[in-house]
Amino acid sequence: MLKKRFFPLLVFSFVFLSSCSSVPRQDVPVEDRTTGRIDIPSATSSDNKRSAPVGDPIVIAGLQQDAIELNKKGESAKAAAVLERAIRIQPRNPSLWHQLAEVRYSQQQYAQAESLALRSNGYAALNTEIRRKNWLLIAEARSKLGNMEGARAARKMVTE
Amino acid sequence: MKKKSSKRRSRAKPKKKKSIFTSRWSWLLLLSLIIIFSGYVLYLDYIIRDRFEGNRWEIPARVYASPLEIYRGAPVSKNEFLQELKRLNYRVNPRVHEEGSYQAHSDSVTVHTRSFQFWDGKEAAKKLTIQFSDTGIALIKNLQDRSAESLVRMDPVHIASIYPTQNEDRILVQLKDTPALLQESLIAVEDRKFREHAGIDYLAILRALAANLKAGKTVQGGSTLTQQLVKNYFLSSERAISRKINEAIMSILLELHYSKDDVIESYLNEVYLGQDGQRSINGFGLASQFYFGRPLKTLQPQQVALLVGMVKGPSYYDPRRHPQRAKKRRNLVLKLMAEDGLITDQSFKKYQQAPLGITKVNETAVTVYPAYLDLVKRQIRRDYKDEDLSSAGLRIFTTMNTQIQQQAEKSLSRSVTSLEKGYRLKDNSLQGAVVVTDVNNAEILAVVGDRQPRFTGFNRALDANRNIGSLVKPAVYLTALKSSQYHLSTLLNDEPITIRQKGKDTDWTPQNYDKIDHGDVPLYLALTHSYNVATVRLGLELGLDNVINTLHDLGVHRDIKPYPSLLLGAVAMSPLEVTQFYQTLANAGFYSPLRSIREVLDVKGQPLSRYPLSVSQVVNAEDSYLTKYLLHQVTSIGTASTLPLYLRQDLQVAGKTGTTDDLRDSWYAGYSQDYLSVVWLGRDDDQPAKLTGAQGAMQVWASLFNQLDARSLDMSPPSKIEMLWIDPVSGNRTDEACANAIQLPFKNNHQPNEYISCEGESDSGSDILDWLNRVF
Repeated sequence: MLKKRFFPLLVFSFVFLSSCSSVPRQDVPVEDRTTGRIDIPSATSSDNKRSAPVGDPIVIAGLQQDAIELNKKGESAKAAAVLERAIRIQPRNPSLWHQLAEVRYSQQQYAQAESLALRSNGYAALNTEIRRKNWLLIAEARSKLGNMEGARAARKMVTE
Repeated sequence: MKKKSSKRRSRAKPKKKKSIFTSRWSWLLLLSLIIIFSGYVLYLDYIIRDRFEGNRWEIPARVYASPLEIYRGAPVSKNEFLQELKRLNYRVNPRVHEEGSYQAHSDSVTVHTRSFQFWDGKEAAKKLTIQFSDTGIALIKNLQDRSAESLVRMDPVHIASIYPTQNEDRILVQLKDTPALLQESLIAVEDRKFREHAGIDYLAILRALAANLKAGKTVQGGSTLTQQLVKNYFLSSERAISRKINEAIMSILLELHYSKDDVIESYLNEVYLGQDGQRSINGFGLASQFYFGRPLKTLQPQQVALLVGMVKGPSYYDPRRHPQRAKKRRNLVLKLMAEDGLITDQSFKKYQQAPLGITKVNETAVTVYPAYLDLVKRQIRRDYKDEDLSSAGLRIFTTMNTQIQQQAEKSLSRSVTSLEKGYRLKDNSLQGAVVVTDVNNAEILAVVGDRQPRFTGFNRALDANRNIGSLVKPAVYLTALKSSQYHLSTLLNDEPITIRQKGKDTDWTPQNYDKIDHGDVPLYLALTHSYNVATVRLGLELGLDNVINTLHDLGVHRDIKPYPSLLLGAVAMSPLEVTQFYQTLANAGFYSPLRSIREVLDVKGQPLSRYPLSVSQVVNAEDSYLTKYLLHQVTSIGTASTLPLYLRQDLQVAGKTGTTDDLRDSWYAGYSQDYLSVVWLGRDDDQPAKLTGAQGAMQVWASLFNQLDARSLDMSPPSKIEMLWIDPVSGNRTDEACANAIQLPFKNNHQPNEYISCEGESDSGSDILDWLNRVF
């Protein structure tokens, strides 16, 4: 009789124990490089070995201001040179690329204005304000180039 | 009386006839002589004015490296900063009261920067203290106004000059920038009456003549500064009378047209003051740098005295070869200065005792970076004639980063030596080339053309055209991804294939490196493991023309023939060309022509040409990302999987190895967040290098990137990319829970449709466990 009651208990406890002790498969350490887990670094990580942050805005604030003033005075080529310098210092700063796109627009170099604004978006990640400004500028530039369909598509992106 | 008058009359008639005859002809003769002489004088006048006014000074083009920018947070260590100061010839001086001086402390550097007029703005001289931390610059304090500086641009390193045919060199100075003492002592020593005469000092000539006759040889010169200037213009030391007369006339003419100030300023810039190998040192501006290593306006009186004294005979009084003679001459000039009241007697005594103060000869005459300079010359020859290049005093601002250039040179030369030892290759048989660019703006930071970087011979970076082997493959795979017919887990066929070739006798049977047929392989593995057969099959399916178009879009300009062997890189390119096409891949699909020059300014500092940053998107964000993902996988699971062993821990990079037939060439192209570099290793005699891409070029690359401030790639995908779990055997979607499931990126509009459950879990036992797992 004990055997009869005992056996189901055994089975039950077996099953119970195995369910408790079983490790979910994804935690099994697999010494296999093909697991391909992507560890996406956060955008604001300051770890030197990770992707670098955009940079301290103070450093290029002066240059951005100089560029604005030069462009106002009509010295757009110099304004562009100043922005290129700023870009060398903070290459992934989307606002610098946007500003350069604006200078090119003011010089009527519409194809470059469009390309530089697109490049700026590549660095803009989650910065929706810059993305919006870029798409607006891209729409304007495309209009000037006669690419009406492209301009419409860009305007759509402004609200997305 | 009547007789007399008649006689007179009769005699006067013939006399009259004679005098009319002679006087008319002699009049004509005199007139024509005057006309000829005037014509000649006008001719001399034209020559001297043309020479004086025209840009006739042959000033070499100066080539500058990219200036170092310092700001809070800049990744520049104290040592790196000090190295740059050395390249700029800054001098150690505890009080830093002069431009161009510095003092190093344990974790900071005090420096007095030099002012420099860049085209886009003037950088004023500043006295600063720069504080360093582990990661770079922590703080920059302006010592004059106690404020914190946010950004300072150092003056750029002068890396080379491009010399004119006559090899003269000068640094132009304006009169107002020269010490008054210089002019006055020059006049006192060489031409006392300079301010009074009209070009020629007749008394001085007579005095000299007398002295020379007395001595029986030339002991005194009677030439004025004006005459010396004229003589210098025409570089002839002929002592013919005709030459002297020409000089005299031209001196007078010169003074008629131009002021004393004009004449003496020209003189100060013209006078020959020494020789440095092939180049001659002309003018006080350059002489000051050449002998004392400092600008003219900062010279001490005894140094001025030396230079003035050398005018009489720069070789004879060369302070490096004949220091005692030079000192004696200097002290003589000092004495004259004291006698004329230009310096006080007290000062005179002090200066007499002072040492000559001559610096060691600098390397500025020698081109330290010939491969980079070669690139600059080629890029600029498209826009400028050779004469302008070497004589118009152009100022060329390049994108070269001196720090990275030296790191690249070191990486190459050290690696080839250790590779030869490690692999038992013949000494000095390996050669190589390295190109480094800034990923974000396509600026060329470094070019190395020889394992011995100072050699000016064959520039392999620009001219070694070698088959690129597997380096071509990313272009094939990108073509596939662009078509949206393929994604990263699409299965490709790696089964053997034989291709009949048009116009060739033998068929072509490409082989995998490991000679294995891998059957059906997912696309990502075919590229990361560089399977040849799968790549050839893929490329033929896509069409060779499409692959060639991709290469052209990426920036390869050369004509490529549509042979199937192109798919395995049987196409020759230079390392620079390869760099252009990887640059577009690294820059998220934005093509930007590689640049080594930012702008060219004329001798007055006005821009002649600018080479602005320009971009154009040739690959969309999604396809770019997928390609980057693949190239990153090459370094983690693919043919460059040993790379992380050599690199700094955790540094995420992307790249591609390239090996050609018989291991003839060893290539590696790779990039981090901000830097791209292409390395080629091989032998000049075209014999096999006996190294794969990973064994050879990749080692050089790793050595370089360990020295650079390299940051990890940002692997975050763009918005239209989704990460999905895939079964690598079938290429279908599967559960995250599966043992062999991997995650891969896919475009939103192109993903695998089919789903497969986990592999190898078909028996019932596991099913029950699975069910129980899900229950509990």
